[in-house]
Amino acid sequence: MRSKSMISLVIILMAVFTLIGMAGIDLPVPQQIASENGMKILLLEDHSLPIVSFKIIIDGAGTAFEPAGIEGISDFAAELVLKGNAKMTAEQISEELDFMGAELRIISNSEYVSISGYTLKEYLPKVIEILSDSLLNPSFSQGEIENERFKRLENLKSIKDQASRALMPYMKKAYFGSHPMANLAMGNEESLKKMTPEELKSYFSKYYRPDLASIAVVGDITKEELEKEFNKGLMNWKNPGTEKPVYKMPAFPEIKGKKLLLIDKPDATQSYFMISSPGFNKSDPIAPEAEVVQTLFGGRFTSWLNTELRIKRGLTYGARSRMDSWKDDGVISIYSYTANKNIQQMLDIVFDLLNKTATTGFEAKEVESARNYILGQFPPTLQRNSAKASTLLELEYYNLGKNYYSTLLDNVSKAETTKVNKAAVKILPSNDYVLVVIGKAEEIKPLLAKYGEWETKKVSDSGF
Amino acid sequence: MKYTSLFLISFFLLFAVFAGAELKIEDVKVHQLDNGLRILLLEDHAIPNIALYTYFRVGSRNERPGITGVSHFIEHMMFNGTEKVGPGEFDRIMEFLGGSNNAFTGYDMTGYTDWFPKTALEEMIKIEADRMQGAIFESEVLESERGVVAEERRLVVDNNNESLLEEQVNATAITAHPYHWDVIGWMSDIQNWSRENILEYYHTYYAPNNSLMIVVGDFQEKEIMPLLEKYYDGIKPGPKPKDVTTVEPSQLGPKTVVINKEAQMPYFMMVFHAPKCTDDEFFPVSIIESALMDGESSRLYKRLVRDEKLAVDVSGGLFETIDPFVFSFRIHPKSGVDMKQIETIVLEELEKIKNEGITQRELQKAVNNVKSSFYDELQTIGGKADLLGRAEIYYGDYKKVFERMKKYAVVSLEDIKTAAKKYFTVDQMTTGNLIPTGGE
Repeated sequence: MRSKSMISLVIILMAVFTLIGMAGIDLPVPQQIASENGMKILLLEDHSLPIVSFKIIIDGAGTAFEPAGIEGISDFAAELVLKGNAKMTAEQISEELDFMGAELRIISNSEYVSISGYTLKEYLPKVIEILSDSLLNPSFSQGEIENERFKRLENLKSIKDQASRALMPYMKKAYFGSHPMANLAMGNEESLKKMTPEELKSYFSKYYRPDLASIAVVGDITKEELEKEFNKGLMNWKNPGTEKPVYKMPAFPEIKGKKLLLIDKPDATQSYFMISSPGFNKSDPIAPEAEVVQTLFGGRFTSWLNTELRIKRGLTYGARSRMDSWKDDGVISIYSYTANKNIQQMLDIVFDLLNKTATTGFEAKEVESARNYILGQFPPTLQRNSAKASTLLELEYYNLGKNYYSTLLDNVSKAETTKVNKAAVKILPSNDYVLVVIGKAEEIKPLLAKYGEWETKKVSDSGF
Repeated sequence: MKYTSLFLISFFLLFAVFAGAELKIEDVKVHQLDNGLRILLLEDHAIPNIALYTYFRVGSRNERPGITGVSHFIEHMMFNGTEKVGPGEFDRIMEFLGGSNNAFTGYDMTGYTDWFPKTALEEMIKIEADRMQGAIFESEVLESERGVVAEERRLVVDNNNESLLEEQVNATAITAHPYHWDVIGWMSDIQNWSRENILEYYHTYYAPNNSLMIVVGDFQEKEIMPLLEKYYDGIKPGPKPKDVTTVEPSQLGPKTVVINKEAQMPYFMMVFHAPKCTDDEFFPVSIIESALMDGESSRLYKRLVRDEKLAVDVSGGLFETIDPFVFSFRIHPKSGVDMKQIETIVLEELEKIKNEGITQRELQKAVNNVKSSFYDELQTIGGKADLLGRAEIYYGDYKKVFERMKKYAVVSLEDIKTAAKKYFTVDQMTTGNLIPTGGE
């Protein structure tokens, strides 16, 4: 019975290939709006619904470029931008945004800070006004700084109650060590306690300048309407005229051999693991084959990881891998969790699978399936205005070119099995990696002994 | 009376805007097969993809002690083999064709959501139809999946302090109705469902007459209907599922739950019995939720987090449910804060609403937020399918997707006070405290 359905699959597959052309996948070329202060402005009109989304990125303001010793200042300063300005208090801003059903969110990534907005069209002028006032004249008031400091210190504590949330911070510290990519947006207890208003303000004035900002607007608004709204404020954002700050990413740390870290969480009934190893940068030509590897190894439901750990054995609810890429370099990670007693079985399977990618590799049929999957799943990712705005900025920021996605998908559709298997060997962890496990040490330490020497920390120890 | 005219204005404004929106109710085509399968079709040619959603009118509400969690378990098993499609094959076939899917189980319904390129349409209909009644629940696969669900429970409840307290608080507030247990089910039930119980449940609820299909995307009505008939017509209707007749008795006094557990942070909850989604009072109560807890400008956030600095965050509210469930307050207090203090403040804020009501601006805020999230959902084919499907399951008719908006717009300030007085009484309250113990 099963083979019958496979025959019809082949026929349908041929149809998939002929019908999904790659043309038309790229976003339309956005309109550019000229500014005198150096701010880059892109607009994509879409009048199908009365809503507008936008995104701004502030280059260099991310966590990896923070001054040494004040971890967390990037995200802390970012949050304060929307916590009061010359015209409105923090409370008035949040009241106004909540009233309109609008969103204005600001977060720190490693390389930049991003501000995302969403609003009903009728309220766009007010949202842009709040945005402009916040970027041009934020208050950084003592009261708001203390509010934020308190919230951040409490958040630090709560993260450790959930191993799933604590896993990534522990990995960042273990993997990057003293490299600035180890900086956590949430900061640390010591840095949060001592951060001064002067430091926060000076950090803001260093990076928040129009010539480091790019904005993409997508939705129910015309160029004329947008120019009118921007002319009321954002266009007057003064370019300081000074040299732009210098921020350069140091080379990523070299990972040699294996580094094993066990975090003892005495109340845990489950153990969480993450393995990370060096990846590749955003514009690396390995991307199409790497997408296929990621899909097959841990990027979808029937991936090797999820098939062996969840589907076949019921050891976990989910097992995945991910590829994080930045301008200069990247990291590959594999992660899952299981009942404490099963952690050894789980890790054995993961290492077997990694070994299998190097020995037998992926079969042609699997590669074909991954290609179809990547091509079929792409169009829905660009349905929302917010996704379109993010993509426009990403193409710009990483200098990927406007045909990036059609070229990438075209190359995915041509990815050959041998090249995919070569890419797998190149990007997946083999001998050099960092492995972090969070669980109840008393129970799992004996199970982990076979993998080598573990450094052990208690979850209650300060920091990550 | 003062506000009547204002409400009428906002009501008409809403309608004017909705009339221009992309979702036009007359574009939705309705079909019903002889076996009772109801089908909603909406063509949308923006991208070459299709969202095909199958919703079953079954959830933990239809369970009983001993088989709690079985609705959710069947959702897992729907991917684990039929006579024609082997265990795990559903996903392999679908992913091979460029599709992906998800599924969810709630108190009242179970949904299977497929997203795929239009070229996969016939094969997707074929395998969806196949598993509507064809799942075989092979013993070995069943045991493995039981392990997956046990892990899921450990993850989302046992190792999550918030969920752990919430499960206990809800089970204390709701004593008779099946909302007493969480959708995931009790661990001992997860470990003990028999194959026989599971099969009986499946054959009762997974029938065309108990389900709804919503298809939105790049297809033509005239091309999809013959395919749906081809694969679904042969499926026999099931017996009419039994009505859920248990009515939760009135709570006559406050209740308290305390969990002492190793943790870094305390956690506070308070729940009150709430109206079901088809009660007119659902809308004023949901507006009270907005005034109290929606955003940093909300009354409780301002008071607990900003002004008195007793808590880190505040969330909660009520769910759309077929039967009455609870309205919850979920609060992360700052470590060392007396939970009694938090409780007192929540009660004080509720008293204010009972006596003074809310402002016109707070009411408009709630309406704006409903409108804003409605349009947000309309951006995707999946969002449209879900809006139509939920309106049909919860309100009995997909056309009510708009009526729901209307109900928010006609709530008066007096309605808010009346609803607050009725629902937020100390006698109908259950509080929960998770208190950290031990640790270093």
